[in-house]
Formats: sequence, C-alpha cells, structure tokens
Amino acid sequence: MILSIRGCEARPLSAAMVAARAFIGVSVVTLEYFNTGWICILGGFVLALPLALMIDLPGKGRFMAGTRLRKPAWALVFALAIYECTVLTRLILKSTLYCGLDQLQPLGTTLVTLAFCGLMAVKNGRGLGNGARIWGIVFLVLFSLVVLSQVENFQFYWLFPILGPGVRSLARGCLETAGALAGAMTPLLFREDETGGKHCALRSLSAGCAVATALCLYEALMSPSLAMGSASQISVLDALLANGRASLALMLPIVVLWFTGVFATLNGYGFTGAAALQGMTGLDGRVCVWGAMGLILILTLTEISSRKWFHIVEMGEYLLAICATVLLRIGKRRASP
Amino acid sequence: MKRAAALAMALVFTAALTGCSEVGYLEHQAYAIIIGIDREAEETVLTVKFPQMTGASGEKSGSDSYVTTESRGINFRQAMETLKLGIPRKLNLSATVLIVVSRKIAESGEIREITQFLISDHRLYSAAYFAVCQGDARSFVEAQEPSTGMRLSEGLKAMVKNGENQGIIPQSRLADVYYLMNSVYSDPLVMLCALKDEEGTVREPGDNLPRDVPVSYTGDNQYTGACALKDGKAAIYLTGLETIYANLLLGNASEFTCAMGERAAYVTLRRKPKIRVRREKDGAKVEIEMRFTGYDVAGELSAYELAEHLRGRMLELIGRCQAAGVEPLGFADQAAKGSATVEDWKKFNWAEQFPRAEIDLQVTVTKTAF
Amino acid sequence: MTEEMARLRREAVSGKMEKDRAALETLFHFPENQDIQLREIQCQGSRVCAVFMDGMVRSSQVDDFIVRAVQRAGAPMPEEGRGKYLITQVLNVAQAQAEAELGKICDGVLGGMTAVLAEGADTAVLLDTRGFEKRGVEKAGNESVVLGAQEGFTESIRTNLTLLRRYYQSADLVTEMLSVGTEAPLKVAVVSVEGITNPRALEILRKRLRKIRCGAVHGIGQLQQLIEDSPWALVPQMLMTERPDRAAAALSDGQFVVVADCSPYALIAPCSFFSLLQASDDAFSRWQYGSYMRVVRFLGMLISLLLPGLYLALTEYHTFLIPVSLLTTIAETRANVPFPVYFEMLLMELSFFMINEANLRIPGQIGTSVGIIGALVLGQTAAEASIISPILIIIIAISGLGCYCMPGHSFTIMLILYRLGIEALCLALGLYGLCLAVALIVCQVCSLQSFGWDFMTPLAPHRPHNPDLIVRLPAFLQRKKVYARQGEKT
Repeated sequence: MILSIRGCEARPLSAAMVAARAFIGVSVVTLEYFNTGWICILGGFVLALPLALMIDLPGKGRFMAGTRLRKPAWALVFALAIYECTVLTRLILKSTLYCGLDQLQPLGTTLVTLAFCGLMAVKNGRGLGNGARIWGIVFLVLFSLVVLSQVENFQFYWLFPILGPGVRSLARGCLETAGALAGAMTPLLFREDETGGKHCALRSLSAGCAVATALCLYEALMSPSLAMGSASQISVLDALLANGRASLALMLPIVVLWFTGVFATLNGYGFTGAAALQGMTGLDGRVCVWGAMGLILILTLTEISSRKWFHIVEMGEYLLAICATVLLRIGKRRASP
Repeated sequence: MKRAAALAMALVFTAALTGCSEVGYLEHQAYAIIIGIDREAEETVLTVKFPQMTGASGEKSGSDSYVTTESRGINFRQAMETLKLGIPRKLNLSATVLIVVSRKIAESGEIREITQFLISDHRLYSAAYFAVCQGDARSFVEAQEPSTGMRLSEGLKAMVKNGENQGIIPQSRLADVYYLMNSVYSDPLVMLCALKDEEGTVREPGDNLPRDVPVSYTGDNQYTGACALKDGKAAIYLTGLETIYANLLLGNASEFTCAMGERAAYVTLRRKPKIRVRREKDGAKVEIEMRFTGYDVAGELSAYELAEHLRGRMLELIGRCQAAGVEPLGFADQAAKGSATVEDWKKFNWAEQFPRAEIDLQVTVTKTAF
Repeated sequence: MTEEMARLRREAVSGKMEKDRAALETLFHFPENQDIQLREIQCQGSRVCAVFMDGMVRSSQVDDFIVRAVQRAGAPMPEEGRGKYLITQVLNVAQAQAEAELGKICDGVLGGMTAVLAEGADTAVLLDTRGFEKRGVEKAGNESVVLGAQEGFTESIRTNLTLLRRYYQSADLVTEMLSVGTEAPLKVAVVSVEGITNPRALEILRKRLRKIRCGAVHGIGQLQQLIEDSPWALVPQMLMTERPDRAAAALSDGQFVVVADCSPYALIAPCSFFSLLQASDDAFSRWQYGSYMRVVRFLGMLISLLLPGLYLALTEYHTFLIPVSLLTTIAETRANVPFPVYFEMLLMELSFFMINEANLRIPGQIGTSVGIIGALVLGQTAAEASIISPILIIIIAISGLGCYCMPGHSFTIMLILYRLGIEALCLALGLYGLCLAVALIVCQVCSLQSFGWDFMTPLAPHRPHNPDLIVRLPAFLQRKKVYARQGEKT
C-alpha cells in the first residue's frame, strides 16, 4: 500500500492542521502571550509565506527527489511529525482529564487514540483530506453558532494592552507560530497532483490562519489574559471550554470542536510521519503507519519532555520544514526530465 | 474475518484499559446546589444543600425536598475533604448554582484561595453565582427554599437574573470574580445577600441593604447590593441603590426609578457611558459622559435637577471607591487601552492612580413625557 | 455443471433431429424434469420440434402461432436455410431469431421462449412466447412518497425496462443485456444514456460484472455486494430503488441503472452520500418544501446516530454539561432503576430492534398489535416497574424515529449499526469517544468510492454542483451540469 494524497485532499487537511496547531501553540501550549495570540498568528502567517510560496512553485507530480537527497528530507519531515504527534497526544490526554474523563487510564486513552489515528491513516489521503474538509464545514457551523450566542458576553477591552507581553515576546511568538505553521504545511509535500489548484499551500495557510485568528480572538474576548499569566494550561482550557459566561449547552459544541480539531491535527501529522517513513524506507504503507503509531505511543508514555527547549524546538520546526522543502525541490528538479 | 476478530479484541482490550468499568452512576452522586462558607473561631464551616433523590420520576421531585449538610476544617480545602468523607454519596459540584461566603470570610481575604480552589476543580461549573452574605452563610443556606413553585436551582437563576436586570445586584459569577481578581483590570464586584432579620448597616432611607427591603414573600433570603473586593478582601459594601449606579457606570443596567424624596422619575440610560482616561502630568483624569432620558409623569422634576441628582450620587459612589482604594467601576478597562504592553500598564499602576484621579462626570438628561 | 454439460452447451445445432433432441433432453434432464416440453410436429413431411418450458410460455401463442402454423404450412421446407424459412414463411410470432448454440437455446427456453428445431436446419428458431405469471405494476411499497409518481418496479425485468423507457423517453437510452452466474444465470440489464452516462463508470461496471464467477446470483441485493467498491464498508455505495421515476432521474444525472430479473429493485451508481439522503418527492415538491423535508431527514440522521451515545457520555462522564434541573430530573428517574445506564440502553435498543423485526415478519392481521404491545408493555410497563427510566425510552424512541426518516432501508440499518458502535465508544471514552467515532466514520465515508467517484462528492472533494445537496434551491437555478455526467472531472 502506498500512502498518497491528492492536491485537493492535502489542501483541506493542511488548512485544518494549520488552524488547530496555530491556535494550540499560542493559546494552550504557550501561556505567556496573553491575549495577543492572534497577533502571533498573523506574524507567523507572514513569516510562513515564503515556505508556502516555495511549496507552491509550479511543477507537476509528487515531490520526487533524487535518491541522495530524498532520504534526509523525509527524515526531517518524519522527525517533525513524530514530535508534533507526541505533543498532541499528550495534549489530548490532558484535555480528556479536564473534560470529566479523569478516571480514564492514560495508557488506554492513548492506545485508543493512536489506534483510531492509525486506522484513519490507513484510509489514506482520500479519507483524511476529505474528512478534514467536512470538519471545516462542521467547524464553521458550530463556531458561528457559538459566536452568535456569545457575542453579548464579549469584552473587547480584554484585548488591551494591545501588545500584551511586549514586542520581543511577540516577535518570538511569531517565530514559534511560523514553526507551527510550517510543520502543519508538510502534508502538502506529499501531494501527488495539482488538483488542489493554484497556490494550494498559500490558500490552506490563509484559510487556516484566518480560522486560528478567529479562535484566538474568541478566547481573548471571553477571558482576560492576565489571569492566565499566573495560571496553568488547565485555566486556559477552562477559559476555552468551560468559560463561566458560556451557558452549559454552549460548552458542548466547543468541547466537540476542541477534541475533533486536536484529533484532526494528530491524524494529519500521523499520516505525514507514516508517509515520510515510507519515503525513507520504501516499506509497505500499513507497516509504516503502525510503526509510526508505535513510536508515538512510546514517546507519549515516556517522561521525556521538551518543555525546557520548547521555544527553540518550535522555531526549529520552521527551519526543518524549509530544509526539507528545499531538499525535495532540488531533488525534484534533478529527477524531472 | 481475522481482521474483524483482531479489531474486536483490540477494542475489548482498550475498553478494559479505559474507564468504562469505573463509570460513576449519575444517581450515585450528591449534587451540591448551594455551598455556604463560614468562619467560626479557627474553623471554616461548609454548609451544602443537596436535592433529595426521591425516585418519584418528577411527580414529587426534588423541588421541595433538600438536605443540608455541614462540615468543618481548619481551612476551606480541609472542610471540603471532610465533606467528601461525610456525605454518603460522591460529591459532585458540577450542578452548583450559588456559592455564598460570609462577611467574615470576605473580610479575611480567604476569597482568593477559595475561588482558586473552586475554579481549579474542573468538575465545578464556573458560571455558579458568587455572593457575600451579611450574616452567617449557614443560616442563609438553610433558609434558602424553593420559591414560586420552581426547583431551587431554577428559582435561584430566575431570581438573580431579575435582580441583574433591575441593577440591584451586580453580575457576579465565580468566573467573573476569579478573572477580575487575577487580572490587572478593575476589581470584582460581588453580589450581596442576607436574611431579612439580620443586622446590617443602613446609610440612609431608601438605600436598601438586603435586610431592609420592605417586601415580604415566602422566602427570607434577600439579594440586594454589592461588595467590592480588593485583593480578595471585601473593601466596601454598596447598597441596592448604589449598586444600580455602579451598574449604570459599568453599562450593565439601563433603567431605574430615581427617587428624590417624595418625587420620582423613571430614568433610562440612552447608551453605554463613554469613559476616557487621560494620563496627565499630575495623574490620571477620568472623563465620563452619560446620557439619560427621564420620564417624569407628574412633571415635578426638571431635567437639570435630575441630572444634578444623578451626577451627585454617582460622584459620591466614585468618591467612596477612591477612598477605599478599590475600583470596581470598569475605568481600568478603558485606562488599559492607553498602555502598549502589560509591562507599561503595570508601571502606570492604576491601583495607585485611581484614588488620586480627577473625575469629570458629565450627566445629561433629556426629559420626555412618555 | 459437469464438463460434459458445459461441452454440450457449447455445441451447435447439428440438423439431425434425433441428436439435437437428445442433446436438449440431456441439458434439461428430461424425462426426470417434467417441466420441459418437446412437441414434435410434421411440416409437409419434415420433422419439426417445439421445445418450451411448461408455465413459462403462453400456451395459446404456442398452439396458434407455432403448432398450427407449422402444421398448416403451404409448401414443403427447402433443403437449405430452413431456419430462415421458418421465420419468414411459417411462424407467426413477431419476435423471432435464429440461434445455433445449444447453450443459448437452452437459456432462451429457460427464459420463457420457445425453440423450434427442424430436421436438416443448422439453426434453431427462438420465439418470444413468454407468458409466465407475474405481478402487475403496483404502488412502490417500501419507498412511498406523498407527491410524485406512485408506480414501482416489479419482478419482471422486461416490465422494469418498459417502465424505465416510459419515464425516460429518449433514443439515446441504451439497454445492455447480460447474464451473471455460471450455474443459474441471472438476467441483468445495464441501462445508460449515450452521451450522458459517464463512460468510465460504465466500463468499471462492465468489468466487475464480467468478473463475477459465482454459480448463482440471487437477486439484485447479492449482485450489489458483488460489484460495489468496498463490500466491507457499512455504507451502501449503490442506491437501491424501487421507483422507476427515481431511476429515470438518475439516468439524466449521468448515473447508470442496473436491473435484474426477479428483483423489484434497481441499482443506481455512481452514487454519493447525499443521494442516499434524498427522496424522489424532494424534487417533485416546491423547493422550499423539498428543502425542509431534507433538512428534517438530515437532522433525523444526526439525532439517530448521536443522541443515544451523547446521552450515555453525558450521564456517565460529563454531568457538568447537563443543566441542573435536567440533571436532577434524570437522577430522580434513575434512582429506582436497578441497572446501569449502558445496560438499560442495551436492553432498550434490543427491544426496539426486536419490535422492528417482529413487525416485519408477523402476519399482516396481527402486525399492528405488535406496535401496541411494544409501546405499552416495553414502554409504560417497564417505566412503571422501574426497569427502564422514562428519559431513556424517550431517547431511544426519538433516535428510532430519526432512523426511519431515511428514504432507503439499507441506510437505516447502517445508521443503527453505526449507532451501536458510537454507543460502545461513548461508554468507554465519553464525549472524546463520541468525537473519535464520528471522526472515524467521516474518514471512512470520505475514503469510499462509488465506481470511480468519491463518495462525498461534490462536497469533499469539492466539485461544481447544483444547489441541491441538503438544501434544494429552485429548479431554474439548477443550471450546472451534474457532476456525474459524462465529461466532468472525477
């Protein structure tokens, strides 16, 4: 089985990943940007533009690099995807604990999550990409409902002071977000045709960033940032999922959007990791998928944490993605007649 | 077939690892509807009201049968642990509608710790109302009964909503109190409540604190007025009328009947107040512009008189807040716009600036016959 | 089928009456098989034999236009071209064809035709004398509509094709007749419209039909399982309809229709998820009414799929998401129930399925009483005896109603099966399990294809389409070429 994805499928998948990953990055994983996450996303968008344009460079067919350059490129993408999957699986564990599922065993939840992720990756790009498109539509409907019913509770002054933690922190936030965005665009490297249309990467980046910005603004308008400065990720999840102003009925769509969003991103990275592994080793797709899932499971359950170097790792993702794209591009030019 | 069997086995295995064998039965839990928190001598006392499960499928439901339980501990956390041990079912705070703390607790500064604990307990619905009780919370919780034929939870919600609409109580949910206490914006304003016959401070006739509301209905519990918290401590208490003025300044109330001795006019806020905070050399200057429409059926009050009265009462309220060093009126929210970063805002130090700030309040009343 | 029989089927008519007759007798297992009739007739001194299946032919036609016509032939048969002579000069049946291969003659006779063999003729004549008993065109029973045509397909392939021709009157309508199955071949017709039906999809269908190797295909349902893209998937990837108007509408949308003998249904493909949600009166009604009905159906699908799982997740794990008054009500109704929620739900679901199944199988006269017994005994009495909580009965009843809003029976069963899976995951993982289950179902459905077409088109992947998915806008806005038509991109 060959893991493949068409352009028209990679575009929505990448857009969903961009949206969810950017939002998670600036609001839940990193707490220090206060209510200025949306600025970080916009800055990250500008920084990620060159990468998007590079991915969009004309040329048909799958990114087929020369043998020498292909393997290191796929290795970079593989490392990036596995790292992201581990972060996301741990985040899912935390948020399930938060959402009334505290009696679940972490091993059980992780196993089920990765089993489902693997099953979905085996459905190949068609299932994942088209599924991401459906998620996008469901997201728009549910999120519009939530915003319309919450609009009277929005506190616009909570967006101020407008530069939040200051220009230096924001600049770092932009770089980190660019890293997250770059990682989320990697499924586009696997697209095997141009059915995604012109400027496929640019379109998915723009759409994803627009959604992430809307989500960040929603969160910022519902809870003051400064409470979070002294609080933990749990407070952020509270602000997002169980905000005191939200009526009970409205918490349900947000909880559903949260879980499905994080899971969609995990699926995207899971698929990317498995496809990169296949690119590296040439093994059967199923073997790659379950191999990648096994690795993620081990990494999730170990005590290894990148919290100390989190900022560096996030920014490093940007460089990794650029390197991988450049390597594949060079190889492609050589490989094509 | 092999695939299906493998999948089924994997599902059973993972299901066994998840929590489905440990699910908590809905009816095996005790849902706290009201939590009262008191301090007696060196102990924190929790009084919790639970609905009784009669199993009568709604015919004689929990609308008129509640159990009140009490627990003690050296602090709030320990009292909560004792409560968990003492009740015969699993404590569930997800249905809590009201959290009442006594005045002693409010003045001791324990509110910060209590709200931090409650908000961290993710099983608690953070939109529960938060109130400061003038007397002891235990008597208040015990006396709180369902009224007008509704369940206690629904009755409380309806009553608070009505109070908020009239402006006599502020919007005070646990999340609001927690957020504002932890943010560098304005200070939180908490709902005030008391039993009718409790001791209270009356500033002047007409400014009702809970115990003085001249209405009698089936319940003894009154919700009128507010308490402004500074660093988790009660700083000042506002009467029902003052709370209306505070709500007008916050833009949360829009209409009320303004009484001036024997005379009265129905006043409506035409739009949310325009508040600007200027940073001047000698300190901050708060400019407030408020426009009202006055309906005076008897035609005894002039627009100027009405405007001056409103202005006077509001300046008095702001003055009280300035004197107490607490700012629950939402000026900080506007002042923060003047700072680019949080660091700048902290340097500006609103807590120090506000008590010295010059207040420029402009009130305009347009009088109409209707 | 033995080697000997297969060899015999491949043989051609020899012209020697004794030999050909013996071959046919062997093929039809005569004289053990009493249904086959071999009637010898003299035609001006030459031997002629009419072979037909008793009960499959109209006797009067055989008597008047074959036996009598042969006996009264005016001249002796010529030495050469006797088959042609019989067709043109002797036999008075409109539809007649010369056939040399014994196997084909055999199939024709099995289908109700009469074969006429003549001494010295190197071909037999197959005459259309079909006259078996069959049901008339009746109202479609399982796909009833309020507005629109009421006729339904019957068990006769000929009648069904006639119905299709009547609803789609075009010279471009092409019918390809095939037979599938090696031992008891089933007559199958592939109906398409030249210039409209997608040739790629049609080619895939032909390839799959040719690949069928099983001995007998029992009806169109089994045929569907043999030719659809993913037989392991729960979702049907072909639309089964008993309405000729719906099949005709599908033809104009670029889809093809497969009808089979002895099946009062037709298969439509390539089909999308949305076509499974659409009923034929949606298009017949005014657009506002049609849209409303579809939205109700869509909500019914969601409720049926998600409500029981959601109830399980909320009551087992996420009580904080239930408004307080409802929470205490649920807790009170459950206070005396001795079973956990999931067991209660399983019990109720099983009861519901059993009532359904019983209602289907029970004789008509007492069928209605089953519904009453189900409602009264299982509902009211179980609630009164505190075996089931009343809220759960409401949940199962509503989700059951949602199921039956669906136009197709297979879609209903699919919903029920998915619902059970969702319930299991909700029990294990609460709302997170619900999200996982929905994500997997969406991914699975999105990964499917129907004869080369993505199952979720035109939504995912997006393809230009008419405003006619869930909400249907007025007919004058439906100007775009339908995505499945010939020439459109896949």
